[in-house]
Amino acid sequence: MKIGKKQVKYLCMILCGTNISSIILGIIHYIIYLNIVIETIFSIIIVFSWFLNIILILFNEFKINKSSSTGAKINLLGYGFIGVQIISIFFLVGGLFLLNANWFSPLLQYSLILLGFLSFFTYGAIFSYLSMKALDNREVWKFE
Amino acid sequence: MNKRRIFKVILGVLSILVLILGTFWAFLLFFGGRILRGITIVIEEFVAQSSVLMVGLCIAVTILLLKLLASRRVKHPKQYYAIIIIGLTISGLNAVSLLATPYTIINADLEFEDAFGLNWRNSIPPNIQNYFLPAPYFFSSHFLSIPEKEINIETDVLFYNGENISLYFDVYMPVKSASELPGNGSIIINLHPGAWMSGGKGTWNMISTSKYLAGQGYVVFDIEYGLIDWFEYGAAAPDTPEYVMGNFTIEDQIRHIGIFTNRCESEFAATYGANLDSVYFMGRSAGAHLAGVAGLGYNYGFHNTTFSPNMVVKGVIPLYTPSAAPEFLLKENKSINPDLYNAYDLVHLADAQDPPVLMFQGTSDGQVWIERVVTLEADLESKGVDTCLLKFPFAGHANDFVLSSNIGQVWIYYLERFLYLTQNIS
Repeated sequence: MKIGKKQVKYLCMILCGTNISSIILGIIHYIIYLNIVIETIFSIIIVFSWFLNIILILFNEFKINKSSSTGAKINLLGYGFIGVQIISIFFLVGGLFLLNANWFSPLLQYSLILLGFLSFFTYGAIFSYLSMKALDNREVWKFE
Repeated sequence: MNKRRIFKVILGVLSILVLILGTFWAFLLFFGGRILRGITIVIEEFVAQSSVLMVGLCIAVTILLLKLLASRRVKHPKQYYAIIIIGLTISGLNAVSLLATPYTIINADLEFEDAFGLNWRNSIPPNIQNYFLPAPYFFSSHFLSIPEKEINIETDVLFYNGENISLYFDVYMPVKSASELPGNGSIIINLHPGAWMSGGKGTWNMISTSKYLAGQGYVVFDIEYGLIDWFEYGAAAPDTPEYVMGNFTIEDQIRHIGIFTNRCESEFAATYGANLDSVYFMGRSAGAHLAGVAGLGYNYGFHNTTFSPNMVVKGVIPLYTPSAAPEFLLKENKSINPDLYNAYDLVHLADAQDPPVLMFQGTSDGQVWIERVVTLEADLESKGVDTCLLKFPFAGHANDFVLSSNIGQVWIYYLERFLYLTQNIS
């Protein structure tokens, strides 16, 4: 299948939706105690969103013209996204392990978890939005 | 080399180091600390619980390497695609613990069917099930944790002062009236790990689990016991308080637990609204052995005067348990005093009148080997004790630390149901 501007636009739109949904459902997770329907949908969205975010990073890598100034910025944002993902993982690991520690306040423990989780999906939403916004700029993409 | 290139080289080297770490993680997932020993038996405790996040980390650095080496895709495609294959292979190997979760659940269901009958789920009324985890595993909870319910905690309550030591406990209680919750104020006496010579209450005795159970209506006593100061162990637990160390043996430790049961009967049960007619002994590693001795030995002649006679033991929950005390940690060895040894051997203590047992065991545990625990389960069942062994593939020692991991969630799902089902067994 040939991937063109239209397909990338759909991908970015879906990603904006799934990333924002993940953020909202992440907050709901703490407000409404575990509900089987919500948590199942949420789990699917997290996996879906994560894979699509990775696909967008890879797609940008292959299809972006890095010699254009906007293309170079999006490429840099891709690096940033990987960095955010790595940092998020460390925050999540730290928060989840420290939940057992009686020498940290619960506020710090949950802050680490939420910061780790929300930063990834917030960055994902921004990244997909900026990629979509740059789609009309012919200099940025190598579709043809 | 310009600065940008140096930065890229550093990023590349760091990414490769992460992939090497991922390989080491995968090795420990499959083999635990059994092969390499040394420090790996300690590292193993963190591996399975963080392996899902290691998958994310390995995929992230693989993509980073692909971006850094983008120019090689055309010039050296073999190198480029080799990175993809290596990165995905390491990530995949780290995903095995997560992928084994359905097997864990199927195995746990079979164990429950054996112990409580095919329709065991129907024995739990819907209004009670509403308090429980609705499913054994949610991927979302893995990252965001299981939301906590409101509970009360009281820490550092003294229950024994003597023999040059002081023993304290922390207690976790529901805020809501316990009678409205599945636990109904049942007591859980929680014994910490640490090879009989180290460790303590609190952090290393899984506070998250104690909090969760308190939210379900249980009164969880996380207690200390005297620790053996003349024994050294390679993987000693951290945070051992000096005030519990002494010239003890395992007999003394059981005696300290007995002292707690007597104080609990006379004072603490009333103070904390706990139900003496429904008591559980739960412990981890060495604490699991002590929980087994207390729970299975409660009705055993040798321990007749040790524990409060007015408590009703409803269940025993040993996690990664040794089946018997090392002989040298008793006052006399097996050949000199076999009766003494038998009084600390879980299989010997077991009889058909004993309460059901729920065991947790990781298959990659390098300290307590799965084969021995499987044998222990078979031996207990042959003695007429209903025993459920929850086997967690690729999990190591102490792998219930992260409550929301794929291991922790499945464990809690079955633990809360076991506790409810056994409360009503007379």
